[in-house]
Formats: sequence, structure tokens, C-alpha cells
Amino acid sequence: MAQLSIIVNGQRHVNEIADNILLVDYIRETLALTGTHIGCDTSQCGACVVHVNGISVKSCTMLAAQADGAEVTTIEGISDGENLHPMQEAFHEQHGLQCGFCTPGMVMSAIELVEKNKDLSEQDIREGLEGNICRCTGYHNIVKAVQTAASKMQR
Amino acid sequence: MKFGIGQTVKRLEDQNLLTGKGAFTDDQMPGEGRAVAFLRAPFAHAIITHLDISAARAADGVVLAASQADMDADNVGEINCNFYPENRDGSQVPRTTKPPMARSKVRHAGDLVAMVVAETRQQAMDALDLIEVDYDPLDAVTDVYDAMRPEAPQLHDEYVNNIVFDWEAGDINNARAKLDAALSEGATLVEIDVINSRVMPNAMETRPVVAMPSEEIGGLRVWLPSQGPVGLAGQIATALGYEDEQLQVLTGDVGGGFGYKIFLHPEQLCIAWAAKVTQSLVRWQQDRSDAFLSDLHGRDNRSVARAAVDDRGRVLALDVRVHANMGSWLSNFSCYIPTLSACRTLTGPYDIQDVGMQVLGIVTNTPAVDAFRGAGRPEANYLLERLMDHIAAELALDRVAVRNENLIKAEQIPYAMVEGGVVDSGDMPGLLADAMEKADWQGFEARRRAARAKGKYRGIGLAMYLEQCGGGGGAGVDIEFEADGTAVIYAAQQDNGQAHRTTLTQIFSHQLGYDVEKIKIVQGNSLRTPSGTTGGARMSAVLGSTLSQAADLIAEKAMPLAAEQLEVAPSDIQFADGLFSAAGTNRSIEIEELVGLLARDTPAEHPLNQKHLYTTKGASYPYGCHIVEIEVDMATLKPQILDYTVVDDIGNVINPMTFAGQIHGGIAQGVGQALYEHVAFDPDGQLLAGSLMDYTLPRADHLPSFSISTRSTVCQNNVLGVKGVGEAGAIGAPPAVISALCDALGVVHIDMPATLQKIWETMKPKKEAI
Repeated sequence: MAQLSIIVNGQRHVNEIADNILLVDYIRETLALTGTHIGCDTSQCGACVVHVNGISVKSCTMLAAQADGAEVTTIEGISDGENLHPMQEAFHEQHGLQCGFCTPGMVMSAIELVEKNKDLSEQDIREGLEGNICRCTGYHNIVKAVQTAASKMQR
Repeated sequence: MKFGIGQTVKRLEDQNLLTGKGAFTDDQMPGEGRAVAFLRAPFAHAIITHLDISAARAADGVVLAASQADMDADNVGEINCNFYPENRDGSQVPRTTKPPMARSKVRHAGDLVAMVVAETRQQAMDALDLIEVDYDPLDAVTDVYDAMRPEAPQLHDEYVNNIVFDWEAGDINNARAKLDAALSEGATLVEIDVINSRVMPNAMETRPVVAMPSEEIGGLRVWLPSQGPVGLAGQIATALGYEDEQLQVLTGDVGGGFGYKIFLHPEQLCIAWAAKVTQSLVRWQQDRSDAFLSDLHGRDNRSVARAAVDDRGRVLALDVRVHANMGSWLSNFSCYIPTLSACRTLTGPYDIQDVGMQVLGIVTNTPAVDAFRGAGRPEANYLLERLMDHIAAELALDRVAVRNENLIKAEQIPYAMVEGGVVDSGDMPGLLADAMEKADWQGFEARRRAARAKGKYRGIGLAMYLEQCGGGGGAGVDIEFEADGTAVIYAAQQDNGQAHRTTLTQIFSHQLGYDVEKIKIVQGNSLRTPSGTTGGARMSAVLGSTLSQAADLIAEKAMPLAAEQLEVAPSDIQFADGLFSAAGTNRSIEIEELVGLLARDTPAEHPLNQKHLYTTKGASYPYGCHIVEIEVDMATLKPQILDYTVVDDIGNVINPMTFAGQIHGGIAQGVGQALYEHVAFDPDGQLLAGSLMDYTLPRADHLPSFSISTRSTVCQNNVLGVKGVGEAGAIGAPPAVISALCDALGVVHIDMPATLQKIWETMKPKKEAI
């Protein structure tokens, strides 16, 4: 067992956890933040992407214990009260989601992509989201959503 | 706020899904309960000679370890195939059922052998290692042609040479006679033998199950992702010996369906049984690699088409023989897909009257196959479109000209297809011309030359498609009004991402002028929501029409009641845009207010409550044209789709935004099948691409942006005039992509999936010849 002290969406949690528990399972099962999803077992799909100290991370590839002392943001933590994050808003505006299962990870990856890169071309966005799989949308509207959000976030 | 039909309404589903408040199956009581783990067969075909689970039973934390013998001892029922065609010779197809776990023989790698329920997932997985199994491996067969050989390994005693059924549609003897006659009169024989490759559905949410005993209903409550909970609930109840009202299946948000989540899978029975036996909350989180082994796969046909063709490319007679891979067992709807579903679009958008189709259903040592987006119709359309391209190549004709020669003309509509069904509306040649203009087909050669100069083979391809869907009934609504004016609409089927809530809200609001804030759509409760599943692109045409008619019935019932409230004669009441008004007065009442008043007056049963079922006059026939431009790098042979143009005739459009979204997603799955997704088995029947590491599910950089437009004619066969949009993209895309790729490479055909290796193999002889 390990002692974990972690800040998730601005709130500190201190837990006794199993050494081998994955960050994603800790987030979903211990904190009951079920917006972060599990879509595969090989770190391909990206449904579990969260931000760890501002960097997007597939939370299925990281032990919870490795996040000791870290600041984690999940999909539940990006909106400002009632106001959606520009990326969430853009996904809604552009119909960037259908079933919504990949969406939290997609949004978290897209936020980091836009925050860290200026003047993203369509190709940049497509390559930037290569680690997130969507089976519903064909990505067309996801790309449009990221373009829309980028123009707002970088204004 | 009010919504209308035809408006680009932003989705009502999004708020929850975007903020992490979705309620998917595994989000129910996260982490609570006991964990289920399964032992799966490592061989594709083997006899179990020894199975001892006693050590697992005694392991730490284990509350149940079981094999099929335990389920047999408890008289648990098996999975049934719910439709069997009749053989051509009039004989009945032998029936087989699928026990949830293997009894003595495993028939595909991944067949269930044993299960464990333990306090934690880790304990359950550890206990699996303690199960002793000995197998006597048998030869395996995965290909349909190989499976039909007399010397092939035999899977089921009932199916000689692994042939489950031998069925025909149309009049095959007539078609063959006409074909021979045409050939003897100088027509050209064009014959193709093409593979419609198997795909893994790969919804991003796998198939978790959470099950627990319920005192309230005296049975079980089961959460699982479905495409409509009632059918699954009935099957599970029957197998476990419950009455229907004792078994509740609940479906919340579903992370994609595409067909397979309609049907009963073995694990669902095992887990429900485990909850019953242990009288506890049990849960299963299906891993993606487990899904590869156990989800119902899609497609997998090998088909021969023989056409007699005149010198203008017109098909005079067509003889089709389909070999459908059923996998190792017969899933609920498996036998319907290659037969009755596929034959409905046997001639697609083309005017071909002398046609017959023979379908052989063949079992192999592979996971079972059932409906996947389009379910038989993509296979039939693909075969036709490949035939059109082959006719053009064989007779040195233009691909577009061959299609124009064969298309049903606008003046022929309504057009009776020989295999049944009447195309009620459309203008196929007009749509094709429109698509060519939008894709700048005429200007393509300049783009080809420009690409060549930068080291790319550029090709253009096209495919027409015609689907038959949106017919029948069985999609009920049950509308209840509440005192605060809320209309609760219990609806059949199940949203899997198609925006049912938004669409149904739009229809109800449009029809009654009802306040959107006061419309509540409820799906996914087998004890409350009407039966029926999402599938066959039937949501708008059937369920939407049902709701639209129900709304009209409500308005009709409300008229005299509104008159009473306004103290005027019923004949003086007018209803428009949600407002009942009395002619010649300034008296009026809004429908929501009327609902509230009536609720107060008659608290027991609201007088406007309405249950409704509706059956369409006939099917709908969406059709369209996909035009694809692709470039293949001369050095690496890597293909990249650059332009993608679609023109659809899908009848009236309820929501242009979600319509386009459905087409986008369908295209992505079609492109995946055509170029990337390879369900490959080795000779022993082992799945070679068994995870997302090695199965290429299309990513954002595999796909271009799409140009989607409509050139619609109103469907005559349902109330809303809609044709259905869920499957269309996945039907049109595969043949269009392959047509473009062949054009780029200068070859007549390449089978799906046209992976890099296959492109290399196709081009190698050409390069050597140079």
C-alpha cells in the first residue's frame, strides 16, 4: 500500500492506495469521477486522458502512486462553474461528439494541443489527435471543433 | 423554446457528455461489487479433455468458480438464433444453440471455458490461473472456401461440410438460363469473386455488465449497453427461468453500438447467472482485447457475381453466389443478415430484372458474426459496385457511363425490384450528375498529372448505393403528461450516439409546438420503455413517425378539452404552434398550460396520455453517390484520401447537423474496412490483430474532411417522409474507396482491406514488368 496525496480538480485527496492501482481506476473508483473513461487495454484509445501537472496523460498508463503530489485535472474540472470551457463549447457547437465516450479524453487532449501550439493547421490537428480514437464522428466535426476552440482560446 | 423539423438544432445530449456526467454502464456504482473474470480457450478448435476448477474455487476471495457443467446443472438456457432461412431444396435448416460456455468442444479462440467471481478483480484474475484445463487441439478453418471442402475440419455435426444453409432469392434458375441465353447471343460474361472483409465493431465503450439481485422485482437488475433493452431482458429472463417482470435490463448512455449491442452475448448470461447464484452485485469490465475475441463481428462474405453484359455495359442477367462466414456459432440475427437483409438491395440502384442470388451460410472457427452498420446491404452494394467497375474495365468503357447505362431512371420510379420492394422516390441519374459536378470529376485528369509530378499516383473512384431500410413498425411510444406540463416520452430503441433525444424532441416540439424544456425522453428501461431495437436506420422513419402521429392524436384529443377550458364550442377551436384559440375571440390557452389544468382535474390518468404504434406503408430507399480521390505515394505506397464528396437522397431531413454527422461516421467505418481494419487469422485460427495496438481503427490523420450534400426526394412510405441515414455512409464508402484506389494504382481490383502489404503485393508484378 502507498500513501497518496493528490490534488484533483483543485481539491486535495489523501488516500491509502494499492501499489498497483492505475491512475484511471483511482479517479473512477476511489474519487467516483466517472467522466474519465476506459476504452482499451493497450493505451491506444485516449478515452482516459487527463492532465497531470498541465500535461495530457493517458491515465491508464500511469500508476496512481506516480501521481503523488501532482495536480490532476479531469473533464469534470475544466468548466468554470456553469460556463463550459471553450473546447467543450466548441464540441457542442460543431457537433464534435456523438456517443460521447471518447469525448472527455478527446477534449483533454485537444486543450493541451491548442494551449501549446499556435496557428494549428487542419493537418496539425489531425496529427495532434492521433492518440485519441473516435468510432462515431469520422473526426470531421472534431477537427472543426478544435479549430473553433483554438480561435477563441488564442484570441 | 420550440424546435422544428429541418432545423440545425444543437444536441440536448451534449451537456452531460461534455462535462463528465454521462451515465455509461461502468459508471453505475463505480468499483462496487464483486468482479467477474473469464477463462477463454487458447485454441480455435479443440476438445476439452480435462477441466478442474476446484483450486480456483478455493482461492482467496473467490465466491464462485463455474464452468458450463454448473450452468447445465442449474438448467440455464442457451443462446438461440432467432431467424433461420429455408434451404433452396425446401428442407429445414438444422437448429443449433450456443451454450454460454463451451460444453466439451471449443470452436473459436476465445470461446468461454470457465468463469470466476471474486471480491476483487485481481483475485478473480489470479484464480483463473488456478484452473486446470487440458485440450486436444483439432485442425481449424477460418476461410469459407476452405471450410466447404469435404476434408475440412467439421465444427457441428448438424452442418455437413460446415454449410448451415443454402438459400436463394429471386429466381436463380431463370437468371442462370437468361444469362446463358444472353451469352450464346454474344453478350460478354463478366465474372468477379470478391471478399467483403470482416470487421470488428469496436464501439469505444466495450460491453461491461453490472448485475445485482433486486428484492423489489423478485429477480435481477442488469445494467448493460444495448440498442434496446427489452429483447435482451427477455432472452436473459427465459434462460435464467425468470418471468419477464423479474428481470430488468437498464441501459444508460451507450458508447457506440453499430449492430452488435442488439444481440445476446454469452458473457451477459454468465454474469446475470452469477448475480443470481451469488445473490450479490457483480460487475465485469470488458477489456478491449477481450472484445476482439468475443464481440459479434461484422461482414465477412466472399461473393461471386456473374453478369451477362451487352456492349454498352448494360447488365442483361446477373447470377450471384454469396458465401457468408457465420463464425463458429449462430448469433441471434446472424442468418438474416446475408439473406433477407442483403437480398433487399441485390440490384441496388440499378434496373436489373433477371437476377438470382444464392447464399451459403458457413461456420468457421472464428468469433460469431452478426449485424454491423448496414448488415448485408453494404455487402450487396459492394459486390454490385465492384461489378460495375469490372464491366467498365473489361469492355473498356467509362465507369460513369456503365453506371448511367444501368441506373433506374427517374421516370421508372416507382420501381419494383425483382427481389421485392418498390423504390418509391428518387432520381438516380440526376443525383450522379450532381455528385460528379460537385466533385469536379471532369477536372480530375489535371489533378492526376499534378500528383504524378510530385511522386503520387492519384485516383478517382465512385460508388452508387441504395439501401432499403425504415420499414415496418414495432417502435412504440408511451407518452405521459405531468402536472407541471412535462411530457414524458417513453420511447422504443436506444440512443447509441445518434441523438435520439434531440431528434424526438424536435419532432414532438414541431408537431405540437411544445416547449422543449418540458419534453423528457426516456429510453433504456426494459420494464418501462416499449420494445424494439435501434438498427436498420429505422429511428426517424419508424420511431420518429410513430411519435409524430402520436402527437397528432394528442392534439386531436386536446381540442374538445381546450374548448371546455375556454368555454367555447369544440368546432370553434383552432390549434397552431402550441396554442389553442377560440375563433372570433381573444381567448386562448397554451398546450403546456392545458396539460397542467387537465392534470389537476383528472389526477389518476391524464386524459392526453397516449400510447402509440405505427407501421410504415413500406420501406424507405435512401441512395446516393460517393466520389473519392486518393493519392498513393510512389515510394512508400501509402494511400491517403484527399477529397471525399457525397450526395445523398435521404428524404426529408430532421436535423441537417446530425444527418451530416451520421454520414461522416459511416464513411469513417467504410474507409476503415476498405483500407485499414484487418481481422486476420493465422492458419490455426488465432486472431492476429487482437488489440488496438495492431488493429488499425481509423485515426484523425487517416481521414480527410468530407463534403456532404443532399439532393432529396420525399419518401412516400412514412409520415415524416424521411429515408434513414445511420447506415448510408458505411454502405457507400467501401466500394468508392476501392474504386479510387484501383484507379490510382491502375489495377482492376484489390480486395479489402487494401492494407499496405496488399497494395505492395498488387504493385510488385507491375513494377517488375517495368
